[in-house]
Parts: sequence; C-alpha cells; structure tokens
Amino acid sequence: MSPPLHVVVVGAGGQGVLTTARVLGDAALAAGCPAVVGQVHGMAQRGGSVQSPVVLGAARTPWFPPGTTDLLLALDPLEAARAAHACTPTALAIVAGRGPRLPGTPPEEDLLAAVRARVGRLVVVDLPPRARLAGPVVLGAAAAAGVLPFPGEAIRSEMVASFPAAMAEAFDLGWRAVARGDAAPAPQVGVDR
Amino acid sequence: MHRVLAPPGVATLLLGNEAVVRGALEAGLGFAAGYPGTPASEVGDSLRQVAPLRGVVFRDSVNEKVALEAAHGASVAGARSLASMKHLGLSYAGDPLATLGYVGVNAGMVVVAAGDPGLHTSPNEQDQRHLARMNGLPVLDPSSPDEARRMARDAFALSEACDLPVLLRITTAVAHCRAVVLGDPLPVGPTLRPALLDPERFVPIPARARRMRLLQEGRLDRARRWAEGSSFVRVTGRGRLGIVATGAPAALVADRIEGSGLGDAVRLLELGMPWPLPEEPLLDLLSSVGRVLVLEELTPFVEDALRALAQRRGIAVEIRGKATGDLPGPFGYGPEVVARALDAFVGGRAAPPRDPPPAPPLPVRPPVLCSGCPHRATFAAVKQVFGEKAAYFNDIGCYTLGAAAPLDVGHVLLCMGSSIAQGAGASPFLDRPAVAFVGDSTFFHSGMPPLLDAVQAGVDLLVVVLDNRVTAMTGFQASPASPPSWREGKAETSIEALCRDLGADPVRVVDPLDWGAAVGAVEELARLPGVRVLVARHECPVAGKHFASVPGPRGARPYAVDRSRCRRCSAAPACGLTPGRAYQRLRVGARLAAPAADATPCTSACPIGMCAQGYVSRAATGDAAGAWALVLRDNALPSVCASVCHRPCEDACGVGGPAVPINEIKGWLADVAEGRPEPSFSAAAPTGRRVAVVGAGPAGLAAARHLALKGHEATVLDGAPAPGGMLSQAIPAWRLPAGRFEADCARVLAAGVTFAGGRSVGRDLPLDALLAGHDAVLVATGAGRGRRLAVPGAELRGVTDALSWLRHLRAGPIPGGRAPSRPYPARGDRVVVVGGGDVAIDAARAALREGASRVTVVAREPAGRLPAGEEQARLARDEGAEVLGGLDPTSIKVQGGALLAAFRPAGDAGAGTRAVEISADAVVVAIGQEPDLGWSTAADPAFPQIPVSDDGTVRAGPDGAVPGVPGLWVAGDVAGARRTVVDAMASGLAAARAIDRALGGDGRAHPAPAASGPWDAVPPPSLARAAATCRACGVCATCSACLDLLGCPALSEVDGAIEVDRDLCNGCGLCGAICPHGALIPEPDRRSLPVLGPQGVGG
Repeated sequence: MSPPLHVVVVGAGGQGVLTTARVLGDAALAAGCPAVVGQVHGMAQRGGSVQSPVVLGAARTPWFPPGTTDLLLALDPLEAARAAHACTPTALAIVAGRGPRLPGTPPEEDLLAAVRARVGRLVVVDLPPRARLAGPVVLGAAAAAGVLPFPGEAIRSEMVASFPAAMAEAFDLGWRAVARGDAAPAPQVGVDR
Repeated sequence: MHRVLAPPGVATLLLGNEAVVRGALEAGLGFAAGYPGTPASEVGDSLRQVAPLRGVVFRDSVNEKVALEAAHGASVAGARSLASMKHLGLSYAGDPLATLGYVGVNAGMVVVAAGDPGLHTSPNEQDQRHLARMNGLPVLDPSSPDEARRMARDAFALSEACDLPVLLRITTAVAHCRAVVLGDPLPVGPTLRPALLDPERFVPIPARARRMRLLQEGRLDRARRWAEGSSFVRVTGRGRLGIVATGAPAALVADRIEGSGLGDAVRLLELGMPWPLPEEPLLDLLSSVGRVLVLEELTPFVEDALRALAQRRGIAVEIRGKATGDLPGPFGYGPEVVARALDAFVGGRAAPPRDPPPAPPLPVRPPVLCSGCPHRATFAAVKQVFGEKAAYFNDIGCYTLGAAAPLDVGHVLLCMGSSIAQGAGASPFLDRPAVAFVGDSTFFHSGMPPLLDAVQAGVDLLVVVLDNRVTAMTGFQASPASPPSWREGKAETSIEALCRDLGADPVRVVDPLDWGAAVGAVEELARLPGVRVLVARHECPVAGKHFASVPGPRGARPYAVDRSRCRRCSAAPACGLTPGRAYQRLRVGARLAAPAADATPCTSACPIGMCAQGYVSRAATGDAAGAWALVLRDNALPSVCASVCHRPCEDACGVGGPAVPINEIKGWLADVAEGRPEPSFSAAAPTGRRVAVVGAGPAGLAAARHLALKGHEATVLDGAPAPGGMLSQAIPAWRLPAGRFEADCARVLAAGVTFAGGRSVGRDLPLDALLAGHDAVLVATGAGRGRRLAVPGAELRGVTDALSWLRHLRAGPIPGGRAPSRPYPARGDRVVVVGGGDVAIDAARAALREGASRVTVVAREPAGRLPAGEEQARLARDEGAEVLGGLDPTSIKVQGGALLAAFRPAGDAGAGTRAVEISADAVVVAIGQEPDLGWSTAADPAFPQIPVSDDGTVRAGPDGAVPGVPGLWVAGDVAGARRTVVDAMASGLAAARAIDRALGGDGRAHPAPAASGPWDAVPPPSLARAAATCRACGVCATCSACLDLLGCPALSEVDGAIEVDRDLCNGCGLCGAICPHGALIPEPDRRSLPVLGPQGVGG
C-alpha cells in the first residue's frame, strides 16, 4: 500500500480554500480513497492566510510534519511562497489566482521563483481577470498531473454534482493547462503557463 | 441532502462538529439550542438545517446561558436535549452548569463545549475539563470525528444512567477536521419520555440541595464504570512504556506509534473520558509498565489525577508529562510536538523528521474587515469626530477588527458584552470621552444589562451599536436584528426601542454608509452628557449573498479610480511629500473636487516657482523642517518675502475659493527656523569659473546663490558697505522688520557667495576691467533713482524725492547718492505724496509714523487701481492717509509760507475727477524709479554701448544676455523686470541659469537641501486649519487618504497608483465619501457575472 499523499491547499480567506479541500476529500472518498481534511487555524478569518491539509490515504489525522508536503495547491502566490518551505524536494506545486493585494508583498515573479526553488515542479495557470474560480482550476490541474491516488475524473464528477456549471468549466481549464504540456509528475524544475 | 443525514454505513466526510450532530440524531435527539462561536458553530449550523427534517426543535439562542437552560427545560419535559457553544460560552453559562450537577436530568442531556487550544479564535484557552470536575459532571473528549459521533450518540444513555448532563468537550483539531464517518441508523424521530415535573428533583432549595450533594459521588461512579466498559477507553500495543493520551493528541500519537513501528514497545491507552477518571484500566496500565507519559493539551488535568491515583494506590511508577517538562504547557500540540515527545520518551527510536528549512520572511496577512463592511464606515466616522481623543471600549464580533490599523479603534476589550460595562466603569476617571462599541448580536447576548446599569449609574458614555443585522464572525447566523427574509419571516427586534426603554437618551439610528449623516450623528451625540446610543445600521454585504436563495448579480457597483482627480502620482514626486494620517483626516470631507494638475496654480503664479502646495502641506502635518527645506530650495530670501512679497500665489489660489494664507505660513516657518540648524545644501564640485554679480539686491543675491550652489565662484559687489539694496536701504523697517534680511543674507553667504562692499562698478572699477577678470558678469543694480517731477516748482524747498527720504529714514544718506538739498518732512507737517506705487505708499505711511498732521496720496491711476495694489492702498487709508486717484500734477507754488500743489484730471483715468489744489508743508515725489547706469562706464572708449530703452532700463534678451557685450548679463529692475522683490529674484535666477549654461553647466535648478529636522513645531490651530484648506491641486500631493484611513482590502497601491480590486469591492462608497478629491466613483454600469459563494466564510 503506497503511503498516503500529503496535500496542502493554501490561499487567502474568502478565496474558497476550505471548499476546495473539501471537494478534494469528497471526490477521493467517492472514488474509494480514504481522506482526512484539516484546517490550520491562525489568522484564517476575514482575509487572513488559510491552510488546509488533506491526507489522501489511510490516516487518522490530517496533520503531517513540515517538510512532507507532496502536493501544494495554491490560490495565491504569496501563500504559495509561505507554504513552499514545508514541501518535499520532489513536490508538485500548482498556483492559480491571486488573493487580495497586501502592501509589501514581493513581486509575483519573485514569489514563484521562491516556490520553484523549493519544489520539484511548479505549474502556474493563468486565470481570466475576473474569475473567482481558482479552486476548481487547481483541482483540474492536479487531476491532470496524475499525482492523485484516485482517478482525477472523480473530482469533476463531484463538481458537476454539487456546483454550478462554471466550476466544471474552471476545472477543465486547469486540466487543459497541464494536459497540454508535460503531464508526467517527474521532478522537473520549470514553469508551465 | 445534508451530509449529516447520509444513509447508515455510507462513508461520508464529516467535520467533527457535523459528526456530533449525526450522533445526537442517532440517539433520538429532540431539542437543541446553541450560540455560535468558533470552533463550535457548525454544530448549530448543521442542526439548523436538519432539525426540521428530523422533528427536532432547534433554537438559535441569544446566549449560551439561555441555551443551556432551555436544553435542561427540554430534558425535564422529556426530550433528549443538546446545548452547543464554545468554551467561553460554557463559562458564561457557569451558573446553571454548576447547579445541573445537583438537580440532574430527566431525558438525557449533552452539553457540547468546543475548546480552542492555541487560542486561534479566543482570548483564552481555558481547559473546560476543570468545569466538569468542579461541577461533578462527566466529560468526554473525542480524538476523531467518528469517535465524536459515537460519543455524542452514547452520551445520552450515559446521561440518563448517571442522572447528570454530560459534557462533550471537542477541540478545534477534531471539530474542524473532516474524516470518514460511517453513520449508524437514524431512528424514526425523537426519543421522548414523560415529563418529570418534580420539585423534589428540580427545585434545589438548600435542604434539598444538601441531599443532592450527597448523590454526586454515586452518580460519578456510575459514569466511571460506564466509561470503563465502553469503547472510549482503548488500550493497544504492549511493552514496558506506557502512554495515556486524551483528546486530539491521542490520534496523533497513535499514528506516530504505528508509523514508527513501536507497537511492541509502547502500550497506548486512549482515554476518551478524562473525568471521572476510569480508574481500573488506568491502574492496570500503571502496574504493567515502567514509565508512563501523559499526553494531553492545556492543563495537566489527567496527569495530576493520575499521579494522585498512583499515590493513593501505592503504585510507584514514573509518570511524565507537562509537570516534568516532557511536554509544553500552553497551546495545542501539532504533529511535531507529539513526534518529539514520543521520540524522547522511547529513547530516540521514533526519530522525528528533521526540521525543514525555516519559512522565508513574508508579509503576514492580518484579518481585516471585508471590503464594504459597514463597520469600517462607522469606525471611520467616529475617528473623524474624536480622533485619538477618546477612550474606545470594544467587544467581540467582526467589529473587533476595528482595533487593527489603520482604524485603531479599541483600547480595551474583555469578553462578550463587556464594552459598555468597562466604559461605564472607566468613564468617571478618564480625561476624555468614553465610547463603547457593541454589535447587534452581542447587544442581545449580554449588552442590555450593562446598558441599563450605565443609565442607572448616571455615567457619561457614548454607546455605538454596530448593527450589521447578522452574527457575522461565526459564519453568518441570523440575529434578532436580521431582516425577516433571513429568519423565515420573523419580525426583527428593535434595538433602538430597547435602548430607549432602558433609559438611554438620546438614541439615534443612522446608516453608516451615509457619511455625512454618520459624522453628523456622532458629532451631535459627542457633545451630550449621559448615556447616548447611536445605532449604526447597515446590512452586512456578505451576509446578503449568504442568505440569498439564488446567486444574483452583485449589488452595488464596484468603485474605480478617476485618474484625472486622484492625487497620487505614479512617478516619484518631486518633493517626496507624504501627508500624515492626521492631515489626511483634516482633508476628509473637503470635497474640493477639481481636476488634478501637473502644475498647481500657486506654483505657476509664483515668479520663482515655489512649491507652495508642498511646503504648506508639510507645515500642516508637523514637518516644519521639511517644509523649510522646500522653501529654501526655491527661495534665497524667504524671510524677506514673508514680509514684503505681493503674493501672486494667493491671488491664484483665491480664484477657486478662500485663498490659503501661503505667505503667513512661510512667515511662521521663518520664525520657527530662527535659531535652529539650517538645512544643508550638498556641495557641488567647483567649476573654477568666476562670476561677478554687480548689485546686492534681491536679483543679485538670488542669482549669486544659485551660481555658488552650482559650483561657480560667485562674488557680489555693491557700492554700499552692506548688501541689500532697496531691501536694507529703502524699504521701511516697519515693513521689513530688522533682522529678516540679515538672516536671509547670512544664508546666501553661507551657500558660498562672497560679498565685496564699497566697490562701485563703473566708478571704482570700470566695467570692461570687471569683464576681463571674470568669466561672466551679471549686473543687477536695480532702479534706485527716483524720477524727477517735471513741473514748475519741482525744485522748491519742501519738495523731496521719496526714495531719498526713505533711505534717510532707514540709515541716513548713502555716499554717492543724491545729497538732499532740502529738509525732509517734519513732525506736524501736512504732506502730499505724488505717486501711486509701493514707494508712494511707503512714503505716505512713513509720513504718518513721523508725525505728519495730514497725509494725502495723489496718484495718476484711479484710486481703486493703484500700482501698489489694493491691500497697500487700504493699509494707507486705515492708517489715516487720504488717497486720491486720476490726478496729474501741474505745478507747485509757494503760498503763505507753505506749498500749494495743483493737480488736474489725468486723461481717461481722471474721468470724473476735478482739478484740485492742496496746500502742504512738504511734497514727496514718488512717480517712479529709473536705473542708475553709472556701472556701465568703461575704461576703453571703444567699449560697446549698452542698449537702453526709453524708461532707462537695459534692453537685453529674454534671459538677460546683453546683445553686443559677450559675458554680460542683466537682471532685476535694471533689466526692466517687474518691480517686485520676487520678480527681481526670478529675473536673477533666469540670468544665473543662462550664465551656468554658458559656463558649461547644465542650466538646471540647484539640488534641494536636506532638512535639518525633525523639529518639534506645529502651526497654531487657526493656521493649521487654514493650511488644511489647500485643495492640493497638483498630482504630486501623493495623497493616500483612502489607503491610510480605511484599510479596505479592495484598495491597494500598484506601481505607485491607487487601484480598486473590482472583484473584492462591494460598492459601499465609503472611499468615495472620504476622498478629498472626488477621485473614487462607482464604475459605469455594465453587466457582471454572478458572484459565486460567500466571501470570507470563517469561524
């Protein structure tokens, strides 16, 4: 039995981090893969940083030690940079969207470079300007990347069952962004856009 | 279908809180009541949705005490009941909780109290297990969502078996963890039993209470035995090392033991009931291992009880935990803490993973009020009125975030409903008004008794009820103030009516997003005594979306920045001006909307281009040193200008409204600068070029300073022994106070200028010799010779040249000047002044000061349009002079020992005047000046002629270069410049820049000096107020009022310019209301996509 996959979904309060993590967990369970979903409580409310760990596989708790994150799903580059240090050197990081602007934030290129330096592979998906759909996009990208211990289509089914059509379309956007390029999760240093 | 109601045996991801609800439903729950609070809110949220489907009566109680009491009432009436709250709420309900342990229950009762180890969302991390022990109640502590379900289910039977309410104490890590839960079947409906209306059981008068007290031990024993036989006390593994783990850490350590393969070395007892202590399994463990580690969060509750148990039973086993330093005291235990403790306990065999590299320092995201939150507007309005001069008492809710920057409202906060009582207690001792903030939900929770108390006590207190019509922070639960459509049609309760009935007076209701009304209401109530209430009511914009049955188009249009008005320049501003927050607040509501200009009217009107907006703004914000440095950058003689400048800047400013007293501010700065260190100009590299400036008046000094600052060797020559020209020789001392010119002159010399007095060019030193000895010569000798009156009688004794007389009054006759051939006006004389310019007015006012019995000014120009200007004419009149206009002199005669001056109407200007004859003892002539061209004398007869105009001034090119004479420039009055101090300086500067260019320089302005401050100096209040009326016409104002005063997450700065994030903006319009320039406006109407999902859903 393969060890459980350690996933973290991160973003700013209000972006849908918890919903994204929940959808991932529900989809996994529907596909027969046990899942546990947690919440890192800190300044999560009203625009603060939110982190939601998800363990896909047999585990009693969703908590895993820093340095063991295999998959980082980020809805904001600053939060991605904040969480990247806890990733394994072969981790896959997927970034889409941006939370509210914070004064003093380094430029996005610097943040993504910091993530790239820490993980095995970074995928960045550009979103249309007014989209509040970063969550489904990163799930679509993760599904296409082939790293999940269950078929990625299960997530799409979950979207279609519980959410308006725009969500499934966003999922497809993320999927295409990865499937278009090199979808293998081999450790690579590079950026897909 | 709600996931809590999933069919039995179907694996579902449930939150711990949802699992509790599932378990309670499995037990036939009949009644539930609760108050939201992180991490308990989802218990109530789930129940609210599923209760109607399950025949369960569910209440959103106004507070936890009521919820607990109502649940007990339902239990007495025969329904299995549940009360849910966070740990703080359990303490709030402490009174009924304590007696419940005595009176017991009828139908089973479970109290869900969710704890917050780590204080993620609470002001304390109290360990509720102590409350259970203190009150004689059993407490269950789940380590996983499914265990929480089973505990919730079985707790009702336990409650009935031991006749006590059972405390289910879940913590954040489990309450908010989603894990696989396999539900058991749900009964058809609630499990009901007959009501038990038995006073012997449920009315604990002391005699009965004593009997009940003696029942406690027995009840707890039953609970203990129940736990010992349940699945909630679980032992796994074997070995000589024992671990007792309870709560969330139990799951962590179980995972860790398995992951490290230590199942044969460690015997783990997972303790689901920490009180009463299930002694048998624990004693079993204690007797079979050599060491025990107790793993629990917060206080050493189990650890201490275990030590006591071991000691009581004579078991000498080593018990380790918090008391022995093996585990931290405060906060929750994450996986690293558990891993490290386990590893140490097993002697290094559990090998925790190495620490990862430290996180990079990145900006922290603080929690902020959402964009469009009406609380932001309420706080901003209160801040606008009180500023820092109030004591702010805050309370619990979304509005607690008002304490964060930049609103900074909240000095004191304690707990739910505490703000009014704390404010009332502090009020008698404060030196400033007390303002208490409370939300609508908090008001209903526990705000009414303290309000009544404050009224009864007769304190002075302003209570602001922030009514956003919902309990927002905990996830948008409806409150009694919510609109009926959010509460199944129930009418809302009127907060203002309650406040009036409790005796507050007055009570006002205002919409905080109506800025003018909000500020007005606060202002009105601020001044009144007693307990006043302001209800600031506006629906939470996010709650509106939350309660909408279908996602709809966004409500109000988002705002956008009108770049033509926004005063935040994206390029680096010239003076680095950054207005402070106090100044921004002064400008709020100025609403002086005018298009932004690159060049402000004041700067454009000033001949030397002073940045008036810059130094006025800096002075107004308390940066006097910075303001002075800016003044000195542009102006070589600022103190002089403060006294005598004709202020074209104020004329230009005054076009759009009352003019800012720019010059008065400059004068204040000059006064403040006296005695303080000077701003320092950086030294330019010496160019080796030598420039001679002839004439030490304003034109010459300004030019010389500029040339010196550009690195040239600048020498100023003047026939007089001291510099100043008209400034020190002719302008009366009561117009230019002594010392002012001297201070300015010292600065000019300190910039590197050399002064050579007593050197009269043309007479002592021929012009061509001067040119030969320098790389450039600038002549700025002024126009210091009074024109002679060309009428019969002009040479009579008693007729005097005004300039000569003024010079005489200042310092006696100057060598080389025209020697007076007559005595000057004497005390008691009747004086006629012929002329209408500055010199004429100065002479008239001098005559009055010298004791003239009557002074008449007769000018050729109309009396209302004298060249000296309206203000000068008014001053002369106010001091007692008569001013006549439109008259030309025709003759002066002697008559009867005095003079008779005759005048006739002066052409068109004299229309409507009559010829007049005025008798006088002295006639002072001030009909204009002309330059003395003596400086142009050259030794070489072949030296080119200096071209001269009809009025005697030199005819030179626009930058002052004299045609035909290479190396010679002219500036100031001698060059025909307008005859004011600042125009002379401008002329000198223009010539100096041209000279700089001609000598190989860049022809640009010299750099600004570095401020020498900060100085502790603020303008007097009236001057500060006047300075604040500056309309900041120029883009270089770097206004950031919206960013500095509001802290809205939708507003940010991108590449120096202000941006509105239209996805975040909720269109409340507060930024538009406070922007001093009207630069924030609703976007033009256009279709937009529906916004999916609530924003900022949180605990």
